[in-house]
Amino acid sequence: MSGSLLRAALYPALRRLERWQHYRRHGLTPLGRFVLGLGFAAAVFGIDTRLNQLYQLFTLALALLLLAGLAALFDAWRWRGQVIASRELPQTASVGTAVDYRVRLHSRSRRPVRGWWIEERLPDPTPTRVQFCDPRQGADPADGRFDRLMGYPRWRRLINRNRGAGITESRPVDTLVEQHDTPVRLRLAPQQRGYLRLPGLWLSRPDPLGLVRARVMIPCEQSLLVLPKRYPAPRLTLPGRRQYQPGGMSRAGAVGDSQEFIGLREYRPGDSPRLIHWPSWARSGTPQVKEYQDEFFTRHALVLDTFATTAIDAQFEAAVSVAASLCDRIGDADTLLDLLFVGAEPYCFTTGRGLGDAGQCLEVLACAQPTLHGEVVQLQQALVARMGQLSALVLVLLDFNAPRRQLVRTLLRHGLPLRLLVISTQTASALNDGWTGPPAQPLHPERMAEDLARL
Amino acid sequence: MNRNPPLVFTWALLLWSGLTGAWLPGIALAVWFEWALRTRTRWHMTDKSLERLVDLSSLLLLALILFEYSQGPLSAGIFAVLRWSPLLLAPLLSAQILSARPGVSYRALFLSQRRSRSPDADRWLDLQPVYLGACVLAAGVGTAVQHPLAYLGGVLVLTLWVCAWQPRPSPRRQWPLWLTLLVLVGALAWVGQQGLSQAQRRVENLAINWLSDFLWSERDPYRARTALGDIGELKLSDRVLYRVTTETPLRHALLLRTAAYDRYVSTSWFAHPQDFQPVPRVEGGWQWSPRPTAAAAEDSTSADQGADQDADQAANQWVQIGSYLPRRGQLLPLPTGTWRLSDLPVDSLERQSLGAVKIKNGPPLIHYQALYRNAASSDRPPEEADLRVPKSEQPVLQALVSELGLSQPGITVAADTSNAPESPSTSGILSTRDTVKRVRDYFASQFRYSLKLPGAPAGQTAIEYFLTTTQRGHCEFFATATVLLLRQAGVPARYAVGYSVQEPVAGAHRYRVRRSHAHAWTLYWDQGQWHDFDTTPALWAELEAEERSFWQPLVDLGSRLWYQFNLSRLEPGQGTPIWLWGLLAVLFALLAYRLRLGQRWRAAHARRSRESVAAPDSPLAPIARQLTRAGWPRRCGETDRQWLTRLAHSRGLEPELPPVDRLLQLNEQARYRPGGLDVTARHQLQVHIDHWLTAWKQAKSTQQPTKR
Repeated sequence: MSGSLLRAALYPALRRLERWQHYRRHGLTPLGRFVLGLGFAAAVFGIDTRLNQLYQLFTLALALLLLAGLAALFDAWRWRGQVIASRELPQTASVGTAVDYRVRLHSRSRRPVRGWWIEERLPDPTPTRVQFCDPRQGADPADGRFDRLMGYPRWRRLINRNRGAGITESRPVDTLVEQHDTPVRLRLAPQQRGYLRLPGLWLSRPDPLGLVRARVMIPCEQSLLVLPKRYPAPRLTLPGRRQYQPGGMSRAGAVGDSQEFIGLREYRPGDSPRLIHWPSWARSGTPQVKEYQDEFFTRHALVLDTFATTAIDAQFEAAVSVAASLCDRIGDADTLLDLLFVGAEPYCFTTGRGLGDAGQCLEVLACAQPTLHGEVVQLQQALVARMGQLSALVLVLLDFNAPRRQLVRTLLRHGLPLRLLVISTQTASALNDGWTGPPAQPLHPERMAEDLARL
Repeated sequence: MNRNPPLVFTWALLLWSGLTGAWLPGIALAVWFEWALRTRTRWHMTDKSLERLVDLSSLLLLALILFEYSQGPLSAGIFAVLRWSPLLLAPLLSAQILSARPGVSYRALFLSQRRSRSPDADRWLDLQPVYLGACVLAAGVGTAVQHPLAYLGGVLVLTLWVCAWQPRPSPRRQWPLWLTLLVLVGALAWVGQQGLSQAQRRVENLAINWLSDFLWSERDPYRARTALGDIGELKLSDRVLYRVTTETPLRHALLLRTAAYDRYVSTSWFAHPQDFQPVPRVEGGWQWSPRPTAAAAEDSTSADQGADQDADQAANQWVQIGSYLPRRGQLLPLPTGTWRLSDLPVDSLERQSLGAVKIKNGPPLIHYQALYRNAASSDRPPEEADLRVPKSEQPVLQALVSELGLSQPGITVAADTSNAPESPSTSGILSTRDTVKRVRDYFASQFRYSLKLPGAPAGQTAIEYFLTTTQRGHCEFFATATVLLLRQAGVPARYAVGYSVQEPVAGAHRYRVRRSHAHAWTLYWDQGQWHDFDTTPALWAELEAEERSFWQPLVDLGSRLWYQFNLSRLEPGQGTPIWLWGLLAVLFALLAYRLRLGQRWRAAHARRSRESVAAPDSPLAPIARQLTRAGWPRRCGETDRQWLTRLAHSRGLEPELPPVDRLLQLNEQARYRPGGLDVTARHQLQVHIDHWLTAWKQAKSTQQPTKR
């Protein structure tokens, strides 16, 4: 309780500190940071004006920064709203892969606009109060007691997580002339999957003294869907027989009847009026109905364990990457693949045989969130309800503890082949200690590419 | 900074030289750095050498701090480091420039990062702006030029130079605006520094006034707030404030007075007028009264001391007092009758007419000698205020005077010494000595000492309540009541505060004075001199001592050792203390170890444990030996691949390291493939190793003359 109170009390100070650091990084030039540091040192060593003359350096640094700041403010005010911009973004991006795109700038000012630099404005990464006060968010077992109590390392991790993309570089802008579009190429390096909101762009240039940057915001809100990171993985050929699919292909992914038509027969009481074939009735004079054949085909499930302990869980991100890497590597072209996980409710997305493709599956995975307050039993119930249609399962688990072992035992009772992949730093023997079922294969979060290649 | 303007180090170093007077090193460094930045000669410097250079600079810095600390307070050491930082940092900056590195790595700068595997440890710190900042800061603590415009003007010129060279798009170079801004900056900085200087003085005065009202009332020469009438318990700390050495063993407590007061208003004592006068230096000491003659001393021997002392000795008694001196100065505790101070190296000494002595700007530790006699003739003679009794106290005091049968000497109060009362009494009237004796007997027989503060009921003053009801209290009650009673009886009296010397320590005639020995007593006028008169029961010190904690002896021991240490390092004329030589010896031994002996020892150790560089059966063992010998050892936990890849990307080694990709591939196959390498692959690996070694030796031999 005292820890949460302390964190709640610290939150405003940390927020101010983050704002100040952001300003120092982006609002000041390197020379401005040098003057600021010098002024701070002069204030410390020259606190007594009788001892030395460093207080004069302090006042000089203060005056420099003050006037440079005023000049930059005036410059930014003068150019506000004079430039508009539009981006040409790709449809999707991937975590860890830089995206190059073009920005078109258009000046409204009659005067030529010179000497500016442009950079992407990223969303404010400062953690919310709820994020910071919840000790599970961004927690790391390696944190010491003091760090856990004060929460500063967690604060840094939350900021890195919220940042969404790496810090962007500024690019120089050629002279902007009225009524002409000027293209600029920018680069973005997404770091987190999901939708990356881009609220606008910054135009900046140093003040006449070269200490403070005048910054003009160009509103230009767009979003970019960032897909999970993928690794090369071999195709998984799973055993398992074909299963009866009630409703056939149409029911496999959504609603509707099977489309495997085999012939017509006479109407029998109880047949659905929707099955009546009206042209045949007209020709023969007796009611005729359409008859369909039951469909059997292979249907696999890729099950993603979302029951993470914290909202920022490297293991969960690794599991999503594994699922993304495998979503088009399971079965063959005639196989259906169900991507199954528990979000706010059990969720299933089916791909294969024209129902959906891997791209859509990746989009679903890009938005998957960990379930912090759920139980593994929910996943078990969702799976058991579908066991009759499935041929085999690939389970991507975050741990191999007792509840998850119970889940696997339950699934084994249905006689389906299972492939167990566990995100873990343990060795295979340690992971399977005391386990008699099909062996669980560990995937080390930091050696994901190698471990996936070995599947 | 975006880039270093030309000659920036020269400007900064000349500013430093001009303001510190260090012209020779300043000009030499300026020439050196300009040459280093312009020359194409570059040195090969390994990480290890850089680490040793950092160690050397750190040791020099430490030695400088210790040396300055031996000569003065710690702050002097810190400022000395700041003043000489351009010299201390010069080797590191030279290494950075001449080895063509972008900076000095955190791994080299911080001991804690030396063995770190974190990539953060290999980040660079560019020392060029650090050095520039150090020059500017160092110039600010120089004292060679005291002109108020010298430093500000110099830094402003440097700022103009640096700003002028900052890169900005050419159309933005608006010179008039730029110069206007700089002129405004200069004006603002000038006004700001004036304001800052005045603001500090004002804040200090305010703080001093505030603190003297609430915390340091006993140190205020003009006012003493007492605890009369308060409720609670009086408890002062047992911190040792003064260490006193006397000429002869004390038979009674020696009273060291810090101030005296003549006006009593509502439980507070005040001194008037506030007239501190500078005291002249006489024969190397501070003297405000002529040397007393033996006859005068004989006359002045106090009756209440009751001692039959030698007259000449009484005139020249001395006491040595040692204490820490706050930077702003303090009131000196002195025996009543002090006429000369010696061994007191302070800038100024002032004395108030009521006897308070104030010093300013001295060393952090003082150990002075006070010559005194048993009574004070140099304090201002009694005036009308020294007989004044508040109306609210008069009824009870008049009744007491009648009860005790105290005489009314009918003294004439004069404004100067010539009119001071000379003879005590006429027939039928008690002499001053008899009056004092009766008052002493009265308090000794009927009153008790207590640290409890009883408060006072409504309608009664604290003194009235003390005299008529409780008859218990601490020294302020006794002193105030005695002063007022004597005044009511017609004897001029004043209230004195200070410390009582009574706690002996091991050693000849040595005593310690604690904060809890703070005391108040009475001064009375008799035979043309002021005499100490203490009516507080002698038991008070024992009561105070009983309150001390059981670990107080340990605290005292620590305090004494620290005092001795400071005495040895700060007392003038002591020369360089032995402990400093010892520390310097240890530091230089450490330096020698790091520079030479440690290197040899490690080389021998490396020869002995060469096998640990690479396993003897490893195909890469000859390469590992070469690299280790050249100063590029394997880091803890590095694999062959990590090691060679790191070196391949290392800035200092890149041109001379032959390619290793195929070599590493074969090496890993040899080590990890089941069955190892076949004959052909083994031969291929050996060829690659030989090729690598040949290329390495050739690269080394071609680089050798350049390094020299």
